[in-house]
Amino acid sequence: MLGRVTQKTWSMLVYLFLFAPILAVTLMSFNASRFSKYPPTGYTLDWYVDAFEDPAIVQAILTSAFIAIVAASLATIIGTLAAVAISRYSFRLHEFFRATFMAPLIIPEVVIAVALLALSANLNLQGGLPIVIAGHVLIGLPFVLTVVSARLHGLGVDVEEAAMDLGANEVQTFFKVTLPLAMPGVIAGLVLAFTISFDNFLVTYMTAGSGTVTIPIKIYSMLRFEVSPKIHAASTIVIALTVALMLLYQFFSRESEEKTH
Amino acid sequence: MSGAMPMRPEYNSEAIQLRKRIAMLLSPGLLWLLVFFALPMFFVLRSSFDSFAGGVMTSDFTLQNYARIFTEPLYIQVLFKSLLTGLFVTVSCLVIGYPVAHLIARSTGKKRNLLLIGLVIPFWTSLVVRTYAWKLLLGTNGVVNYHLMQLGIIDTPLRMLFTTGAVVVGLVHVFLPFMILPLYASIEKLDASLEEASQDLGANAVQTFFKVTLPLTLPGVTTGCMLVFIMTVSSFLTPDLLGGAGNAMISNIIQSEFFGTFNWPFGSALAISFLLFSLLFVAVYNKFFNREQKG
Repeated sequence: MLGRVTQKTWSMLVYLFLFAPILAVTLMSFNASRFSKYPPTGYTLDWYVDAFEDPAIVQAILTSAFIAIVAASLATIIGTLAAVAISRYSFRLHEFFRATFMAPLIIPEVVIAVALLALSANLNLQGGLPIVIAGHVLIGLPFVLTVVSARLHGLGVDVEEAAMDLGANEVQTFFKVTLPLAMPGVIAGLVLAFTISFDNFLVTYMTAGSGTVTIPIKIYSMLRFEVSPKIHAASTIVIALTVALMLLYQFFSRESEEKTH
Repeated sequence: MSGAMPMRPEYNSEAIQLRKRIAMLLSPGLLWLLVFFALPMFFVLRSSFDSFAGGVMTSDFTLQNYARIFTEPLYIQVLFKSLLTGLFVTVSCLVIGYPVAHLIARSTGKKRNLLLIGLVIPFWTSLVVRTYAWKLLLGTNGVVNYHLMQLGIIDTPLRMLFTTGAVVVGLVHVFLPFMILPLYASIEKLDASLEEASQDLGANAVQTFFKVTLPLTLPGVTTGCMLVFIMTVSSFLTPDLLGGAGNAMISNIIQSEFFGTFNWPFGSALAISFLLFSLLFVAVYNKFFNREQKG
């Protein structure tokens, strides 16, 4: 298709386009100019010092990490159970249930946020952690389901049946047979759900109230109220964390694939 | 639970046991969706029929909120503009992304892994960061203007931020990987020898692409297009950070009803309408393309 050379050049430009914003933020985080002038005339680590000395930024990263750990764990537990049912058994309304669990993927995020806002108003909550976590679990579920199902797909149920025949009960079979088989997918799902929660903006922004500030919200509000290159430093830290997580995810999902085939 | 039971229920018929097992596996997820989505949506639906006057909400039943969506031109305009943006961004992503997906699918080993990781990193990088970064690139003193002036293409900096163009660039950037990944999955399954055979039989590259490659990778195209379209139409952050006053999309309008004017009943009506619209769109889209692919 096309000329081979044209296609390669085009793809290189597309990758440049995809990485340009990441490179720009990283570059500006080391730029000595307080006004992020381009091209930089000197380099500094001052903005990183500023970012780490700002207790609000550190707190926001910790809050994000806490929410992401809780939300990802819940999404992984719930999503794995559902994935086992959906990928291991055929039953009535199978497709309906699958579509239901995948629904948060196609429902506009703003609608999910409005729903949670209505819930917290009806329960007289002022938003906050529990509602944010509930929302992040909702958004993470379809991803966990997809990854774990992909892992279990194609693995026969005969191992589980053998375990039951040998006298293991359902709970034993689940923990000793099914779960170990699904494990690479489960871990990949966990990392994915963590990243999604860590990066989430809209649901958090609309439901968190003023008391819960995650790092995306902190960066967003710094953009409005503070003009300091420490935004770029904080952002670069977030990018580095996400890249590390994604490489971890790649590792586990590859592991998961290799064991299947 | 059943582990604590003294006897294994061997006398239960296998079918009942199986059904119990499936119910146990599905119920936590269903409960979560019920408590944190279905029930809340019922509250939203109820509040969408409430009245709002002089900054006060009352539970007097009214259809006024829905009537307003269809009578005040602003809302139809925003819907129309969001759909148009969605269409434009989707087509752009498809045209820009297809050659890249093809290249990745036809490369092997380390190179393919590298190309995929290169796609996945921006895909998962914080949305807020990736979006505001375009301010650094497109600003008056930004990277793009600097290089355009260096190259002598322009004399004075272009005003690119807070325009529809900036929003479109930002959206294409955010959603391009969502297009390339399903395309890649589809092209990878297509046997490369089919393309070669077509060329051997005398078709040129363009004919081969339109008569062989594209039709056989249609599942990837339809999946990618649907994901990108639906996500673009419901995007909030990109129009918020890169757009001007006229670039608000559906999500921005809904958010501002809840946090700007505090007209929750009207905001609820907008949210309900948007949800129904999205579900209807996906249902029609799937029906149409599934039939197309079967036929």
